[in-house]
Amino acid sequence: MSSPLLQVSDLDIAFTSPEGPLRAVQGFSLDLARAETVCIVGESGCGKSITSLAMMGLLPKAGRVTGGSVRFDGTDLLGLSPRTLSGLRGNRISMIFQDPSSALNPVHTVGRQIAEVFMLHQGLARRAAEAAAVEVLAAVGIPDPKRRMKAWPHELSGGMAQRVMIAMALACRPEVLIADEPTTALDVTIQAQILDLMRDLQKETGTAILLITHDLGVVAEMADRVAVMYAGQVVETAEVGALFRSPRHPYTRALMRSVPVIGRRTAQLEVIEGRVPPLERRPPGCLFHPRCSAYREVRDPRCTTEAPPLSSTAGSSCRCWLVDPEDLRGPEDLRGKETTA
Amino acid sequence: MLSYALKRILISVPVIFGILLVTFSLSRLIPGDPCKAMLGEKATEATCQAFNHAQGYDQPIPLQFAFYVGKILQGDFGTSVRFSRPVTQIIIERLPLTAELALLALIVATITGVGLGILAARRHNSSVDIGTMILANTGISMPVFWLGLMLAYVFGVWARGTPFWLPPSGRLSAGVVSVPFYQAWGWQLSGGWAQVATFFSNFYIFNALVTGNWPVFWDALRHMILPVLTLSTIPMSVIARMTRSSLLDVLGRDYVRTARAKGVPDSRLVRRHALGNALLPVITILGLQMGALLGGAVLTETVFGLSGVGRMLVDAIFSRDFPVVQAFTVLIAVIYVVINLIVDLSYSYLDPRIRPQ
Repeated sequence: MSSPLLQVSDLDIAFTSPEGPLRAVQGFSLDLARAETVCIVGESGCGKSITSLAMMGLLPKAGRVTGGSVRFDGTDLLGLSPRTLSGLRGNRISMIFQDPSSALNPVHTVGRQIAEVFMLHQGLARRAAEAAAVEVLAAVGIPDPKRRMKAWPHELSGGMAQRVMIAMALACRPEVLIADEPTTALDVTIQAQILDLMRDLQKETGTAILLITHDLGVVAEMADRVAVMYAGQVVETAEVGALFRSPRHPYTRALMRSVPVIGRRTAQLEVIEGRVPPLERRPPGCLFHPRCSAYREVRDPRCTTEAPPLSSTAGSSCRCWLVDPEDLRGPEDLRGKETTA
Repeated sequence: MLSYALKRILISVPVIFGILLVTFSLSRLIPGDPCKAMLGEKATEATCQAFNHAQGYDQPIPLQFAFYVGKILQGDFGTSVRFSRPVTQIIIERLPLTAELALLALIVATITGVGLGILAARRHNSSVDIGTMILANTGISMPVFWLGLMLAYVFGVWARGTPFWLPPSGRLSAGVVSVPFYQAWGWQLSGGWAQVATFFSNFYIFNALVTGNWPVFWDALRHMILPVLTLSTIPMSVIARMTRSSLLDVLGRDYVRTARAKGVPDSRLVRRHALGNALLPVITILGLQMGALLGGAVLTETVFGLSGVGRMLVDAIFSRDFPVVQAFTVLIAVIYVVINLIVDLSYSYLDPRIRPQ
């Protein structure tokens, strides 16, 4: 395999607070190859969005990258000057966001916002940029694109607005598209349309997609590989098929059990007790142990004292003391080990 | 857009009618005889009868109102009791000074206020930000008359003999005469046109500008510096604070993040993506500040010995010169209506969300 297009290694992100720096993301690593789709999945507050913003250099003022690197096609994005980074953003790496209606500037027309991308990155004159914008609007399936160019964001439905965002993000045929919960604010039928659109455009342009979501349905639909995040750490990575067949980390398994499955009668959906611990009160040892059903059964002392490493084997990895790195089989095995322990 | 503007202008007509009704009613609601109120308690029966007849006070009230409105539409605001001169004449003499002062102050306050606000917001929490906000807070807390006196003292007295000296009173230096543009251009005017032309020629700076009379222009401008500085300090501070907080709010919005994500460089970000949104609330403030300017103009005119509307109005209230008070009340109310109209129209021009379809 050639070297990955986007390579995030050991990314640490901290927030300044009156009590000192709070580590929001610790040792986040991820590879993204050309034309590949990788999903980052996890609960709200686990650091998915912050991680994606950090890759783009868009962290809010209080946030700061304290370690690690984000290499894009060989260059470290974190070391670039603001000017060089602006030249890459929207051009070779693009991003779309959760709420399309607030992500578009209310006082500029749709056409002007898309045309600006062409003017910034391809040096087109206004006329030419507008013509190019009509083309991308048509490409994202907006009917009557010429007329829509003059529309204001508030005149668009959520689905239309997200299509405009996608048009804007894909205008320069970027190599990487980071999509932060792109369908969360949309209703289900529109969600499916938007996901289809992203997939179709990906086929056409070969863009690699980093998709951030909390929706396992979206993961199953879109991902080639998945990284599961919990409390600012990657706890498991795997091929999407392997992950759904045999999730290994207790958190991933709990996530899977909390989703209803069509055709399977479940007496009661499982709930993961408690919440993601807040930044200032992260537990010692494994960050997940206070909510972990496996820990409650096994009571391994390492879980409460030592942070488990992310151990990898052939294309997948898991951060849990209770999962044998060599073991690729899944939940049944853990149960077997529990009885022998 | 055009039809909206027309509709909005038409809506102003009943408002102005209402204003006329209120000012008219107020003058009739004053307890006692209007004659005694205006001419004083010692006015004799005969004097009062003549006065009431001359003023039309012996007519039925609705008819009086009709006459009143009719006369105002012809530009006749009645006769000043104190000066025995048409009020319109007084307006033509006094209003241009106050309008010039208020407009210049508004321009200065807007440019410096918005500029300082942007500076503070772009360097949020830096020493520049803190310094600017200390300046703005000081500006808001400073009484107009005190600031005026201090400026007059520093630049008018202290700095005498230095290049920094500025005239502390009056509109023009002794010996400098402003020639009305219609005389300079040899126009022969009479009646209403002459009055309109005189009104505009009393804007000395404007008059000197159009006639290209530079010595008068610079002299009038120099005389305006201290009053304008005094009058603009409070609105400038309010505008600076408003711009700063509004811009900070907008810079944290999702669409600004989108703009950065599509590669808009920082300098362009504020100019093209944030400022348009951030200035919307500032425009509302601008309209409201016009009121503060008119109020401040009274004090400023007093401190700098300028004979504008502000001082005239205060004097008229004290001397019970009701036609003058009534005329200026109507005038100020109409100015407010016009400012609100401008604010509304510019709002709907700048924000497509409230633009009528």
